[in-house]
Amino acid sequence: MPNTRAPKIEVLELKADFVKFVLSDTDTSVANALRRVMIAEVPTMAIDLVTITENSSALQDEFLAHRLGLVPLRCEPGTKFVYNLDCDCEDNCEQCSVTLSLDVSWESKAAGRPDHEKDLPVFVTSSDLVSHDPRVGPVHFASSDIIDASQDDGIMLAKLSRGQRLQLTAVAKKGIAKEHAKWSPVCVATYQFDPIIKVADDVSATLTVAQRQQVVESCPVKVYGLDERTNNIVVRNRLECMYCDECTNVASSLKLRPEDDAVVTVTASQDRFIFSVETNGTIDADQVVQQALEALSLKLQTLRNELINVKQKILAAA
Amino acid sequence: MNAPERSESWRLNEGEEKVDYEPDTKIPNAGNFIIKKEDHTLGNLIRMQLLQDRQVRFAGYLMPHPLENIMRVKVQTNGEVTPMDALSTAIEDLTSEVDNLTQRFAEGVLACKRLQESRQYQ
Ligand code: SF4
Ligand SMILES: [Zn+2]
Repeated sequence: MPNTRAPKIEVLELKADFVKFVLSDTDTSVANALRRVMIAEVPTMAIDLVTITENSSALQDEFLAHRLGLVPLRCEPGTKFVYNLDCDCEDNCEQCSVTLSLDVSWESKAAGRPDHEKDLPVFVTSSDLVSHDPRVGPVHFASSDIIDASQDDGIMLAKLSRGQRLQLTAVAKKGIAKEHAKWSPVCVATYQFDPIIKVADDVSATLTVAQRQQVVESCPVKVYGLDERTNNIVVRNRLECMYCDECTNVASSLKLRPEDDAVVTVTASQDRFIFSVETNGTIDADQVVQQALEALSLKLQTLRNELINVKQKILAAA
Repeated sequence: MNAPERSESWRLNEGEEKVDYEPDTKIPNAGNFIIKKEDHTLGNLIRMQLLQDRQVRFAGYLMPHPLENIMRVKVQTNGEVTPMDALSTAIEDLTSEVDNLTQRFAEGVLACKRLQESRQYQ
Protein backbone atom coordinates (compact mmCIF):
# COMPACT_ATOMS: atom_id res chain seq x y z
CA MET A 1 0.00 0.00 0.00
CA PRO A 2 1.79 3.13 -1.13
CA ASN A 3 2.06 5.98 1.32
CA THR A 4 3.70 8.61 -0.79
CA ARG A 5 3.41 12.26 -0.01
CA ALA A 6 3.61 14.99 -2.59
CA PRO A 7 6.00 17.52 -1.08
CA LYS A 8 6.40 20.99 -2.53
CA ILE A 9 9.38 23.29 -2.80
CA GLU A 10 9.33 27.04 -3.19
CA VAL A 11 12.64 28.81 -3.72
CA LEU A 12 12.63 32.16 -1.91
CA GLU A 13 16.13 33.43 -2.52
CA LEU A 14 18.87 32.25 -4.83
CA LYS A 15 22.44 33.46 -5.11
CA ALA A 16 25.59 31.68 -6.21
CA ASP A 17 26.51 30.87 -2.64
CA PHE A 18 23.16 30.98 -0.89
CA VAL A 19 19.73 29.48 -1.34
CA LYS A 20 16.67 29.76 0.84
CA PHE A 21 13.67 27.57 0.15
CA VAL A 22 10.52 26.25 1.75
CA LEU A 23 9.94 22.52 1.82
CA SER A 24 6.34 21.71 2.62
CA ASP A 25 3.86 18.85 2.90
CA THR A 26 6.36 16.35 4.17
CA ASP A 27 7.79 14.93 7.36
CA THR A 28 10.59 16.16 9.63
CA SER A 29 12.52 12.98 8.84
CA VAL A 30 12.74 13.98 5.17
CA ALA A 31 13.82 17.52 6.01
CA ASN A 32 16.43 16.18 8.39
CA ALA A 33 17.72 13.59 5.94
CA LEU A 34 18.12 16.30 3.31
CA ARG A 35 19.97 18.54 5.77
CA ARG A 36 22.28 15.75 6.88
CA VAL A 37 23.09 14.69 3.32
CA MET A 38 23.92 18.28 2.34
CA ILE A 39 26.34 18.57 5.23
CA ALA A 40 28.03 15.21 5.09
CA GLU A 41 27.38 13.31 1.88
CA VAL A 42 27.71 15.61 -1.09
CA PRO A 43 31.09 14.87 -2.66
CA THR A 44 33.63 17.64 -3.25
CA MET A 45 37.38 17.88 -3.83
CA ALA A 46 39.87 18.62 -1.07
CA ILE A 47 43.61 18.29 -0.63
CA ASP A 48 44.30 14.89 0.88
CA LEU A 49 47.96 14.14 0.26
CA VAL A 50 50.82 16.61 0.57
CA THR A 51 54.42 15.99 -0.42
CA ILE A 52 56.66 18.61 1.12
CA THR A 53 59.97 19.15 -0.62
CA GLU A 54 61.13 22.06 1.44
CA ASN A 55 59.65 23.64 4.51
CA SER A 56 61.88 26.03 6.35
CA SER A 57 58.94 28.03 7.71
CA ALA A 58 58.06 28.15 11.39
CA LEU A 59 55.20 25.68 10.92
CA GLN A 60 55.54 21.92 11.10
CA ASP A 61 54.72 19.83 8.04
CA GLU A 62 51.64 18.24 9.64
CA PHE A 63 50.21 21.60 10.63
CA LEU A 64 50.71 22.91 7.14
CA ALA A 65 49.18 19.81 5.55
CA HIS A 66 46.11 20.20 7.72
CA ARG A 67 45.71 23.84 6.75
CA LEU A 68 46.02 22.90 3.09
CA GLY A 69 43.36 20.25 3.48
CA LEU A 70 40.89 22.80 4.77
CA VAL A 71 41.23 25.10 1.75
CA PRO A 72 37.99 24.83 -0.20
CA LEU A 73 38.55 23.91 -3.85
CA ARG A 74 36.04 25.02 -6.42
CA CYS A 75 35.00 22.61 -9.16
CA GLU A 76 33.58 23.89 -12.42
CA PRO A 77 29.94 22.79 -12.70
CA GLY A 78 29.74 19.48 -14.49
CA THR A 79 33.24 18.34 -13.55
CA LYS A 80 33.10 14.68 -12.62
CA PHE A 81 35.71 12.75 -10.72
CA VAL A 82 35.75 9.20 -9.42
CA TYR A 83 36.75 8.21 -5.93
CA ASN A 84 40.44 7.47 -5.67
CA LEU A 85 39.70 4.08 -4.11
CA ASP A 86 37.45 3.12 -7.04
CA CYS A 87 39.94 4.22 -9.67
CA ASP A 88 42.00 1.71 -11.64
CA CYS A 89 45.18 3.78 -11.43
CA GLU A 90 48.07 2.91 -9.18
CA ASP A 91 48.37 6.03 -7.01
CA ASN A 92 46.37 8.81 -8.59
CA CYS A 93 45.47 10.09 -12.05
CA GLU A 94 43.42 12.85 -13.69
CA GLN A 95 40.23 10.85 -13.31
CA CYS A 96 40.42 10.71 -9.54
CA SER A 97 42.59 13.59 -8.39
CA VAL A 98 44.01 17.01 -9.08
CA THR A 99 47.59 18.03 -8.38
CA LEU A 100 48.38 21.48 -7.04
CA SER A 101 51.81 22.87 -6.43
CA LEU A 102 53.15 25.66 -4.31
CA ASP A 103 56.59 27.19 -4.33
CA VAL A 104 57.13 30.41 -2.42
CA SER A 105 60.28 31.79 -0.94
CA TRP A 106 60.74 34.98 0.99
CA GLU A 107 63.15 36.24 -1.65
CA SER A 108 60.73 35.69 -4.53
CA LYS A 109 57.90 37.55 -2.84
CA ALA A 110 59.83 40.29 -1.11
CA ALA A 111 61.61 41.35 -4.29
CA GLY A 112 60.54 44.74 -5.50
CA ARG A 113 59.13 45.86 -2.19
CA PRO A 114 59.66 49.43 -1.01
CA ASP A 115 62.62 49.85 1.36
CA HIS A 116 60.67 50.36 4.58
CA GLU A 117 58.86 47.03 4.04
CA LYS A 118 62.00 45.12 3.09
CA ASP A 119 62.33 43.08 6.25
CA LEU A 120 58.68 42.25 6.88
CA PRO A 121 57.56 38.62 6.49
CA VAL A 122 55.75 37.54 3.32
CA PHE A 123 52.40 35.77 3.33
CA VAL A 124 51.79 32.43 1.67
CA THR A 125 48.10 32.19 0.78
CA SER A 126 45.83 29.86 -1.11
CA SER A 127 46.28 32.05 -4.19
CA ASP A 128 49.87 30.77 -4.37
CA LEU A 129 48.54 27.27 -4.98
CA VAL A 130 48.81 26.48 -8.68
CA SER A 131 46.32 23.92 -9.88
CA HIS A 132 47.32 21.60 -12.72
CA ASP A 133 43.66 21.23 -13.74
CA PRO A 134 41.94 24.43 -14.92
CA ARG A 135 38.54 23.13 -13.78
CA VAL A 136 39.57 22.94 -10.13
CA GLY A 137 41.25 25.55 -8.00
CA PRO A 138 41.23 27.23 -4.61
CA VAL A 139 38.06 29.21 -4.07
CA HIS A 140 38.30 32.79 -2.96
CA PHE A 141 34.92 34.34 -3.23
CA ALA A 142 31.76 32.89 -4.58
CA SER A 143 30.75 35.96 -6.53
CA SER A 144 32.82 38.28 -8.64
CA ASP A 145 31.19 41.42 -7.18
CA ILE A 146 32.70 40.75 -3.80
CA ILE A 147 36.07 39.85 -5.24
CA ASP A 148 36.39 43.29 -6.83
CA ALA A 149 35.23 45.09 -3.71
CA SER A 150 37.61 43.35 -1.33
CA GLN A 151 41.34 43.52 -0.95
CA ASP A 152 41.61 39.93 0.12
CA ASP A 153 44.16 37.83 -1.66
CA GLY A 154 43.44 34.35 -0.47
CA ILE A 155 43.39 32.20 2.61
CA MET A 156 46.48 32.58 4.79
CA LEU A 157 48.54 29.40 4.93
CA ALA A 158 51.86 30.51 6.43
CA LYS A 159 54.18 33.46 6.88
CA LEU A 160 57.81 33.38 5.77
CA SER A 161 60.64 35.55 6.94
CA ARG A 162 63.99 36.17 5.29
CA GLY A 163 65.61 33.03 3.93
CA GLN A 164 62.59 30.76 4.41
CA ARG A 165 60.95 28.76 1.68
CA LEU A 166 57.95 26.54 1.15
CA GLN A 167 57.86 24.06 -1.69
CA LEU A 168 55.29 21.30 -1.96
CA THR A 169 52.87 19.41 -4.16
CA ALA A 170 49.41 18.59 -2.96
CA VAL A 171 46.99 16.02 -4.32
CA ALA A 172 43.30 16.80 -4.04
CA LYS A 173 40.88 13.88 -4.05
CA LYS A 174 37.15 13.45 -4.14
CA GLY A 175 35.51 12.63 -0.84
CA ILE A 176 32.57 13.22 1.46
CA ALA A 177 32.39 14.98 4.79
CA LYS A 178 31.43 11.79 6.59
CA GLU A 179 35.10 10.94 6.30
CA HIS A 180 36.49 14.39 7.06
CA ALA A 181 34.75 17.76 7.43
CA LYS A 182 37.07 19.35 4.86
CA TRP A 183 34.91 17.75 2.16
CA SER A 184 31.74 19.47 3.30
CA PRO A 185 30.37 21.82 0.62
CA VAL A 186 28.33 23.94 3.04
CA CYS A 187 29.01 26.41 5.83
CA VAL A 188 25.40 26.65 6.84
CA ALA A 189 22.72 24.10 6.13
CA THR A 190 19.85 24.49 8.52
CA TYR A 191 16.11 24.45 8.50
CA GLN A 192 13.63 26.11 10.79
CA PHE A 193 10.01 25.27 11.34
CA ASP A 194 7.70 27.76 9.72
CA PRO A 195 6.25 29.86 12.56
CA ILE A 196 2.50 30.15 12.93
CA ILE A 197 1.80 33.40 14.78
CA LYS A 198 -1.76 34.18 15.72
CA VAL A 199 -3.11 37.41 17.14
CA ALA A 200 -6.42 37.01 18.95
CA ASP A 201 -8.29 40.15 17.91
CA ASP A 202 -11.02 39.73 20.54
CA VAL A 203 -8.41 39.58 23.32
CA SER A 204 -6.52 42.42 21.75
CA ALA A 205 -9.67 44.54 21.92
CA THR A 206 -9.68 44.24 25.71
CA LEU A 207 -6.14 45.62 26.00
CA THR A 208 -5.10 49.25 26.15
CA VAL A 209 -2.95 50.64 23.38
CA ALA A 210 0.00 50.83 25.80
CA GLN A 211 -0.39 47.14 26.58
CA ARG A 212 -0.49 46.28 22.89
CA GLN A 213 2.60 48.39 22.41
CA GLN A 214 4.25 46.38 25.18
CA VAL A 215 3.56 43.12 23.32
CA VAL A 216 4.83 44.60 20.06
CA GLU A 217 8.01 45.87 21.66
CA SER A 218 8.72 42.63 23.52
CA CYS A 219 9.82 40.93 20.32
CA PRO A 220 13.59 41.31 19.81
CA VAL A 221 13.35 40.79 16.05
CA LYS A 222 10.37 43.05 15.41
CA VAL A 223 7.90 40.45 14.23
CA TYR A 224 4.92 42.56 15.26
CA GLY A 225 3.79 46.05 14.48
CA LEU A 226 0.87 48.26 15.40
CA ASP A 227 -1.56 49.17 12.66
CA GLU A 228 -1.40 52.96 12.26
CA ARG A 229 -5.13 53.45 11.89
CA THR A 230 -6.69 50.87 14.17
CA ASN A 231 -3.84 50.40 16.65
CA ASN A 232 -4.27 46.65 16.40
CA ILE A 233 -1.37 44.23 16.69
CA VAL A 234 -0.34 42.96 13.25
CA VAL A 235 2.27 40.41 12.21
CA ARG A 236 4.86 42.09 9.99
CA ASN A 237 7.93 39.82 9.75
CA ARG A 238 6.64 36.37 10.48
CA LEU A 239 9.69 34.55 9.09
CA GLU A 240 12.05 36.40 11.43
CA CYS A 241 10.61 34.64 14.47
CA MET A 242 13.14 32.57 16.41
CA TYR A 243 10.79 31.05 18.98
CA CYS A 244 12.23 32.95 21.92
CA ASP A 245 8.82 33.14 23.67
CA GLU A 246 9.30 36.76 24.77
CA CYS A 247 6.00 37.84 23.28
CA THR A 248 4.03 34.93 24.72
CA ASN A 249 5.48 35.61 28.18
CA VAL A 250 4.34 39.21 28.00
CA ALA A 251 1.01 38.08 26.61
CA SER A 252 0.40 35.72 29.51
CA SER A 253 1.39 38.40 32.02
CA LEU A 254 -1.33 40.59 30.51
CA LYS A 255 -4.01 37.97 31.13
CA LEU A 256 -6.58 38.92 33.77
CA ARG A 257 -7.20 35.31 34.73
CA PRO A 258 -4.79 32.44 34.05
CA GLU A 259 -7.41 30.52 32.04
CA ASP A 260 -7.92 33.40 29.58
CA ASP A 261 -6.65 33.20 26.00
CA ALA A 262 -3.33 34.88 25.35
CA VAL A 263 -3.31 37.77 22.92
CA VAL A 264 -0.58 36.23 20.78
CA THR A 265 0.39 32.60 20.29
CA VAL A 266 3.45 31.22 18.52
CA THR A 267 3.53 27.63 17.31
CA ALA A 268 5.83 25.73 14.99
CA SER A 269 4.39 24.27 11.81
CA GLN A 270 5.05 20.54 11.61
CA ASP A 271 5.17 20.23 7.84
CA ARG A 272 6.72 23.43 6.53
CA PHE A 273 10.49 23.81 6.72
CA ILE A 274 12.48 26.86 5.76
CA PHE A 275 15.94 25.84 4.63
CA SER A 276 18.93 28.17 4.53
CA VAL A 277 21.93 26.79 2.71
CA GLU A 278 25.17 28.70 2.33
CA THR A 279 28.07 27.06 0.55
CA ASN A 280 31.77 27.58 1.08
CA GLY A 281 32.16 28.19 -2.63
CA THR A 282 33.08 24.70 -3.79
CA ILE A 283 29.74 24.09 -5.53
CA ASP A 284 26.90 26.51 -6.29
CA ALA A 285 24.16 26.55 -3.69
CA ASP A 286 21.41 25.18 -5.90
CA GLN A 287 23.76 22.39 -6.98
CA VAL A 288 24.35 21.43 -3.36
CA VAL A 289 20.64 20.83 -2.86
CA GLN A 290 20.29 19.10 -6.22
CA GLN A 291 23.25 16.81 -5.57
CA ALA A 292 22.08 16.10 -2.05
CA LEU A 293 18.71 14.95 -3.35
CA GLU A 294 20.43 12.81 -5.95
CA ALA A 295 22.73 11.31 -3.32
CA LEU A 296 19.76 10.53 -1.11
CA SER A 297 17.92 8.90 -3.99
CA LEU A 298 21.01 6.84 -4.81
CA LYS A 299 21.28 5.66 -1.20
CA LEU A 300 17.67 4.53 -1.26
CA GLN A 301 18.09 2.76 -4.59
CA THR A 302 21.16 0.90 -3.37
CA LEU A 303 19.25 -0.21 -0.33
CA ARG A 304 16.32 -1.35 -2.42
CA ASN A 305 18.55 -3.43 -4.67
CA GLU A 306 20.33 -4.93 -1.68
CA LEU A 307 17.00 -5.87 -0.13
CA ILE A 308 16.01 -7.71 -3.30
CA ASN A 309 19.30 -9.62 -3.08
CA VAL A 310 18.72 -10.56 0.54
CA LYS A 311 15.20 -11.66 -0.26
CA GLN A 312 16.39 -13.93 -3.05
CA LYS A 313 19.06 -15.40 -0.82
CA ILE A 314 16.50 -16.23 1.84
CA LEU A 315 14.21 -17.82 -0.75
CA ALA A 316 17.07 -19.86 -2.12
CA ALA A 317 18.00 -21.08 1.35
CA ALA A 318 14.43 -22.10 2.21
CA MET B 1 48.30 1.45 15.16
CA ASN B 2 44.69 0.58 15.75
CA ALA B 3 43.07 3.59 14.13
CA PRO B 4 40.28 2.50 11.81
CA GLU B 5 40.56 3.15 8.08
CA ARG B 6 39.35 6.69 7.37
CA SER B 7 36.87 5.64 4.73
CA GLU B 8 35.36 3.03 7.01
CA SER B 9 32.45 5.25 7.99
CA TRP B 10 30.88 5.10 4.56
CA ARG B 11 32.48 2.46 2.33
CA LEU B 12 31.66 -1.21 2.62
CA ASN B 13 34.63 -3.36 3.56
CA GLU B 14 35.69 -5.98 1.08
CA GLY B 15 33.18 -8.83 0.94
CA GLU B 16 30.81 -7.10 3.35
CA GLU B 17 27.08 -7.31 2.63
CA LYS B 18 25.12 -4.06 2.78
CA VAL B 19 22.12 -5.62 4.47
CA ASP B 20 21.71 -8.60 6.80
CA TYR B 21 18.33 -9.90 7.84
CA GLU B 22 17.56 -11.72 11.08
CA PRO B 23 14.00 -12.88 11.65
CA ASP B 24 12.97 -12.29 15.24
CA THR B 25 12.74 -15.59 17.13
CA LYS B 26 10.49 -14.37 19.94
CA ILE B 27 8.00 -12.02 18.30
CA PRO B 28 5.78 -13.11 15.37
CA ASN B 29 5.99 -11.28 12.05
CA ALA B 30 9.05 -9.35 13.16
CA GLY B 31 12.58 -9.03 11.92
CA ASN B 32 15.79 -7.06 12.28
CA PHE B 33 17.64 -5.53 9.39
CA ILE B 34 21.28 -4.72 9.94
CA ILE B 35 22.25 -2.04 7.45
CA LYS B 36 25.95 -1.32 7.21
CA LYS B 37 27.56 2.08 6.69
CA GLU B 38 24.37 3.98 7.29
CA ASP B 39 23.34 6.29 10.11
CA HIS B 40 20.46 8.44 11.37
CA THR B 41 20.05 9.99 7.90
CA LEU B 42 18.46 6.85 6.50
CA GLY B 43 17.51 5.33 9.85
CA ASN B 44 15.03 7.96 10.88
CA LEU B 45 13.80 8.41 7.32
CA ILE B 46 12.96 4.71 7.01
CA ARG B 47 11.44 4.47 10.46
CA MET B 48 9.07 7.39 9.94
CA GLN B 49 8.04 6.05 6.55
CA LEU B 50 7.38 2.59 8.00
CA LEU B 51 5.19 4.13 10.69
CA GLN B 52 2.94 5.57 7.96
CA ASP B 53 2.14 2.04 6.85
CA ARG B 54 -0.99 0.67 8.51
CA GLN B 55 0.25 -2.90 8.14
CA VAL B 56 3.28 -2.10 10.29
CA ARG B 57 2.79 -2.57 14.01
CA PHE B 58 6.22 -1.53 15.15
CA ALA B 59 9.16 0.18 13.51
CA GLY B 60 12.28 1.43 15.21
CA TYR B 61 15.92 1.94 14.46
CA LEU B 62 19.04 2.27 16.51
CA MET B 63 22.73 2.79 16.08
CA PRO B 64 24.23 0.37 18.56
CA HIS B 65 27.45 2.37 18.96
CA PRO B 66 28.72 5.59 17.38
CA LEU B 67 32.00 3.92 16.42
CA GLU B 68 30.32 1.01 14.71
CA ASN B 69 29.01 2.13 11.37
CA ILE B 70 25.90 0.01 11.40
CA MET B 71 22.25 0.66 11.94
CA ARG B 72 19.59 -1.79 13.06
CA VAL B 73 15.98 -1.48 11.94
CA LYS B 74 13.34 -3.54 13.70
CA VAL B 75 10.01 -4.06 11.98
CA GLN B 76 6.91 -5.90 13.13
CA THR B 77 3.93 -6.22 10.82
CA ASN B 78 0.35 -7.33 11.38
CA GLY B 79 1.00 -10.53 9.40
CA GLU B 80 -0.50 -9.44 6.11
CA VAL B 81 2.94 -8.66 4.75
CA THR B 82 6.43 -9.75 5.75
CA PRO B 83 8.77 -7.23 7.41
CA MET B 84 10.92 -7.51 4.29
CA ASP B 85 8.08 -6.42 2.02
CA ALA B 86 7.05 -3.64 4.37
CA LEU B 87 10.58 -2.26 4.27
CA SER B 88 10.73 -2.59 0.50
CA THR B 89 7.49 -0.65 0.15
CA ALA B 90 8.73 2.06 2.49
CA ILE B 91 11.93 2.46 0.50
CA GLU B 92 10.02 2.42 -2.77
CA ASP B 93 7.78 5.23 -1.50
CA LEU B 94 10.71 7.26 -0.22
CA THR B 95 12.57 6.91 -3.51
CA SER B 96 9.62 8.27 -5.43
CA GLU B 97 9.22 11.09 -2.92
CA VAL B 98 12.87 12.10 -3.21
CA ASP B 99 12.81 11.88 -7.01
CA ASN B 100 9.70 14.01 -6.96
CA LEU B 101 11.49 16.52 -4.74
CA THR B 102 14.45 16.69 -7.10
CA GLN B 103 12.09 17.71 -9.86
CA ARG B 104 10.20 20.21 -7.67
CA PHE B 105 13.48 21.82 -6.66
CA ALA B 106 14.67 22.19 -10.24
CA GLU B 107 11.34 23.82 -11.09
CA GLY B 108 11.59 26.09 -8.06
CA VAL B 109 15.08 27.22 -9.07
CA LEU B 110 13.90 27.97 -12.59
CA ALA B 111 10.91 29.94 -11.31
CA CYS B 112 13.13 31.91 -8.94
CA LYS B 113 15.65 32.69 -11.71
CA ARG B 114 12.86 33.87 -13.99
CA LEU B 115 11.54 36.11 -11.24
CA GLN B 116 14.99 37.58 -10.65
CA GLU B 117 15.41 38.26 -14.37
CA SER B 118 12.04 39.95 -14.70
CA ARG B 119 12.93 42.16 -11.74
CA GLN B 120 16.16 43.17 -13.42
CA TYR B 121 14.38 44.39 -16.55
CA GLN B 122 11.98 46.56 -14.63
S1 SF4 C 1 8.62 34.07 19.88
FE1 SF4 C 1 10.21 35.65 20.09
S2 SF4 C 1 10.85 36.04 17.98
FE2 SF4 C 1 8.93 34.94 17.84
S3 SF4 C 1 7.38 36.54 17.68
FE3 SF4 C 1 7.54 36.03 19.86
S4 SF4 C 1 9.05 37.47 20.65
FE4 SF4 C 1 9.25 37.54 18.42
ZN1 LIG D 1 42.90 7.45 -10.70
